[in-house]
Amino acid sequence: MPTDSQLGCLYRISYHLTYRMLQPIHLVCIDGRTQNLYVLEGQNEEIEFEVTPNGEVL
Amino acid sequence: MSSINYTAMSYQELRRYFLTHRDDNAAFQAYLARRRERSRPVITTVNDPDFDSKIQASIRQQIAEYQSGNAG
Repeated sequence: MPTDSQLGCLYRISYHLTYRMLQPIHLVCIDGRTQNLYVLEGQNEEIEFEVTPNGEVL
Repeated sequence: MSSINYTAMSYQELRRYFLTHRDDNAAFQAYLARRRERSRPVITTVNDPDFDSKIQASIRQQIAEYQSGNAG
């Protein structure tokens, strides 16, 4: 399960992507090795973010 | 067992491959492993007062990088 910090970041990233920038989100999951939350987005699937368990966005 | 040689693919090729083969979890895991090898800068953190503007800037930058790559 994602941490509270990851969920907070995910909401704000999702808000900007879908509401402000009108970009689709394709994939949200946790990388089991790092526990980072991974998000893949974009009209051309060209945007990626990772959020560490303590809320750093990469 | 998969006969696909993920290591022979470039980073972009592997991304393209897992996006078009969504049922191939091994391809996605290979892609995540490739990502972990790359050091990526911290864009922002959860308590950063400039979180929103930094996320927007990063989204724009990633779109621009894709478009410039396609143009070239």
